[in-house]
Amino acid sequence: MNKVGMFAAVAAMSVAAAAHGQGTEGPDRLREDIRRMVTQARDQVFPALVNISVITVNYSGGKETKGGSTGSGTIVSPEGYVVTNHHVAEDGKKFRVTLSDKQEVSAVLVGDDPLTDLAVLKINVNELKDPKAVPVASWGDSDALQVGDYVMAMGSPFSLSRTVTLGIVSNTERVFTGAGDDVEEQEFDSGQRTGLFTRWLQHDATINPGNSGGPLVNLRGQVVGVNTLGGSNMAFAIPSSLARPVAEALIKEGEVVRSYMGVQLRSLKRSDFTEGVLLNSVIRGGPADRAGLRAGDLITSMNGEAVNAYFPEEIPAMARKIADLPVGSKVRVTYRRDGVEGSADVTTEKMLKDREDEEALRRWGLSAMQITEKIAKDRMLDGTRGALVSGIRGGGPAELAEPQITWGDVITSVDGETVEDLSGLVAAYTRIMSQDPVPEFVMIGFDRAGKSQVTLIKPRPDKKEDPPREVPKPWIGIATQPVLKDLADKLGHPGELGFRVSRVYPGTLAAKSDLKVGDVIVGLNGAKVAPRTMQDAGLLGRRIRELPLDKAAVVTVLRGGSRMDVEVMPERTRIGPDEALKDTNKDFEVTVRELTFFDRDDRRWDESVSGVLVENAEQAGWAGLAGVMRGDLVQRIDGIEISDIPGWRRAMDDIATRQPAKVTIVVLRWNRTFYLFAEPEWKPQTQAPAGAAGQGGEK
Amino acid sequence: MTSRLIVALSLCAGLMAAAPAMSQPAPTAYEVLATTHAKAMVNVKFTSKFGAEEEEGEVPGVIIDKGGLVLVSNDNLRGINARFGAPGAESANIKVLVGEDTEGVDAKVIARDSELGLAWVQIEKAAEGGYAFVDFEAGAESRAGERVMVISQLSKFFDRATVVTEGVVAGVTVRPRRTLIPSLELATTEWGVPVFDANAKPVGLMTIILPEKEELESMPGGPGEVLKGIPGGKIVLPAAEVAAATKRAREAAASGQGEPAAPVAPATPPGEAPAAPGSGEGAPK
Repeated sequence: MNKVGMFAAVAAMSVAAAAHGQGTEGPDRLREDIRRMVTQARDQVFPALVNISVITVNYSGGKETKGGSTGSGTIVSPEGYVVTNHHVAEDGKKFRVTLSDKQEVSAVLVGDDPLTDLAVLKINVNELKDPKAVPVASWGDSDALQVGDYVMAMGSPFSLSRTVTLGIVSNTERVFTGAGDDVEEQEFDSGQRTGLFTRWLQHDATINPGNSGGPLVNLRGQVVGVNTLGGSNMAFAIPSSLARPVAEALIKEGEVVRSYMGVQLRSLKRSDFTEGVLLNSVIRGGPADRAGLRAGDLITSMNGEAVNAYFPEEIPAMARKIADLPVGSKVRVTYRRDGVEGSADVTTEKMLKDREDEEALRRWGLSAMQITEKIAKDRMLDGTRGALVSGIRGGGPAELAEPQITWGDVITSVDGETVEDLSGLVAAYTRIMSQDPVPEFVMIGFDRAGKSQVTLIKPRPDKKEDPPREVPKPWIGIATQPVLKDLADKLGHPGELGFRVSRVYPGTLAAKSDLKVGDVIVGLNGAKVAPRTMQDAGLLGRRIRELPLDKAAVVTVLRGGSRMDVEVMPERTRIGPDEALKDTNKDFEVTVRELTFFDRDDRRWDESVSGVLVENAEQAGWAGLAGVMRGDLVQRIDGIEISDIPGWRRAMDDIATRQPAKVTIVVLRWNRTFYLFAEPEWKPQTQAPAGAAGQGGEK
Repeated sequence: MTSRLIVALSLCAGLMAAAPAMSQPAPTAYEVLATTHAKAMVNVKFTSKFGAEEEEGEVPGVIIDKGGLVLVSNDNLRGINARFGAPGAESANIKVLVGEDTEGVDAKVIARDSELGLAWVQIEKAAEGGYAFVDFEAGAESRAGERVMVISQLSKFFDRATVVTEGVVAGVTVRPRRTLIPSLELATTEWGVPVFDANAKPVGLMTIILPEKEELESMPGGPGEVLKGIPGGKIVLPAAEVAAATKRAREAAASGQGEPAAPVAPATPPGEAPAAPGSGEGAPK
């Protein structure tokens, strides 16, 4: 008897005992039994449960964009292989894995399989305290699960790591069907199909964003599924009967090699047939097409074995059976077409990914992707030659070209050289952009809706320009508030409207004058200054800006019931944040600016405080990952004192030259100092990141 | 009373002949404008950057000296939201399109006056022989009721044909400063274009004047209330003010924008300990 069966028996006995009035022992024992079984099962898998943080790079809008996301996974081997979802690892460029004992280590992607939404990472076990003590979970048999069996979901919902929920199996052969009870093809946002071979385990152990890739565990403490979809108290896991062989293939080969016939199958439900399986579609030019099979054929056997799929639930298994054939297998297919029997020999080919690489050609203002057969079919292209434009940056060279290049164009040549694929385009880009000087124009040949066109783009240099300064105007270093009628009455000078000094900025010429907080300014150089409403709050400032800069102003004030004139020398307006010198460092993806007078005043930083103020730190950039935040004052970086923008630029140039493995950044955050540690990856980059971080999210 | 007339430069004479039959204003004013000032009207192309986002923009401008100093609307360059406390766009890759030029010549913003809504753009390599320009120092004053005209250019599709739009000075403000409020006919024109009188003398530049952020926040109804009765938010800054602001801008640019007056740190307020770097709670001991 398995543990689930034992549990059922224990529960029945306990309830029966309670019903016969044999004390309150029954419910307590039931609770204790459940707790014990859940605890034992939990402890089998929980140590191998991991939280996965992913730094992603994608290519929206014609530029490379970094982002961050989190998911869950399970360590399945002592070497440190971690099973998770493809959609957790998708677009991942950097992985950090946190074990249940809170140790955090780096990981690399071993392989992924979008068609099943599975991926395998490998953690760097040498970063663990004890590399030989890697916790490992064992696989269970999902085929043995029955509706009603207890299961636990483990993972990091909403990034809340090490979370366990309990539920029961609701359905062991769920498929998603659309109109006509046909199995509905699922796709990621990228257009990549998924779930082709999956008959989902539906359960009600709560999962949420962040649980993706985490284990579904039976009460034996075995992984019987990989949680992948969820919502509205329903969750769906990839059964271990599919996940385990896929994971093993990824570990062994880095990919899952599958056979491809170029057909889409449909169950017989709602048809007049009672046996066989229908060919819903046949891909033009694919193996089945070349063998003479046509959409609508009723397949009755393959290699002499009868095939039947009456219900949609039977389709994934049949698709998998074809896919599991060795590539290049010859399959004798018998079929019925218009009542006539026929046969065809189909030689399978290797199944290719729906979606391949994508690159950003930043200085051309476009991103492009490899054209796969699926993409060619979806977009009704003639073939897979060229590179598909997947994004255009607004205002970039590609958009400004005449005619402009747009999303969906297929680039077929660069400066007259044929572009066969994405790598050819990237090679041409790299070659052209490494010329000195970069040519003024690059001729791009592209296809759009069957028309072969050429255009000229003008590569754009990444120029650093300091912002223009405001025209200097006279200013008196005070803050004021309007004094209207009622306030004037209360202050004891009825009818005398003006501007009450609320702050005299230290370090200004006003501070050297006799102006004081509490003075009410009623005149300037003999002219009355009186606000009529609060909307005249800026009136005094405007009057001051009309003064000459080189001549003292006479400010008439009311102080303690007396009227007096105070001489103040106007000075030029101080630099505001908009005018401050800035610098964006693309390695660390951080923008800093010079510290202004008003920054110092806001934060009460005196002149002993120096540094550059962080205006933006991309969340997934090296500085952002180190914890640098907007508003931080960078005072020291890798031991180099920073006092201004030129100093910052010198320091960052020095760091870029030395390329240290770790960079210590000392920042002042209001009145607290923080030591932050960045771990740059100084890999050679053909593309400077655009600097925009996407929104982080849980998967 | 007023009318709009498209004056394609190449067809100028022909249109002039037709004008008297269709509008009251003397055609000579249009002719003078088209022949003397249209060449000073330019378009300024630039890339607007909001963080990592970029978009291409093109705004009208006017050359104001022989050396290629161009006056444009700062609000067109930075985005009007910068007036309300939002971060303004940074302008990059600035090009000035003079005459028939479609590529543009490199230029740089050398100064701006956010209060007046003005920005000065300098062509980096001025053409030999210099440029036709509108001289605001030789501008005229205008009063309520007087006819004024604006010349601007149509889009590329219409080959940037010159458009003359005529209206009147509908009013004059004194507070918060002296400005001319044009009549409804000029509401469709753009910020950054010069406004001329009937003698083709510049009387000012089309811009927008708004309260300071704090003032605006205290106003129920916000900018809509502030600009009530001002068609299209178009306000003419008088030529003398434009000339004076330009003088200050030139001085600022000449003094070196990269070397602003060093900010002087305020002293520590009474009762507060200074925040010394490295001494905060987060520092290792």
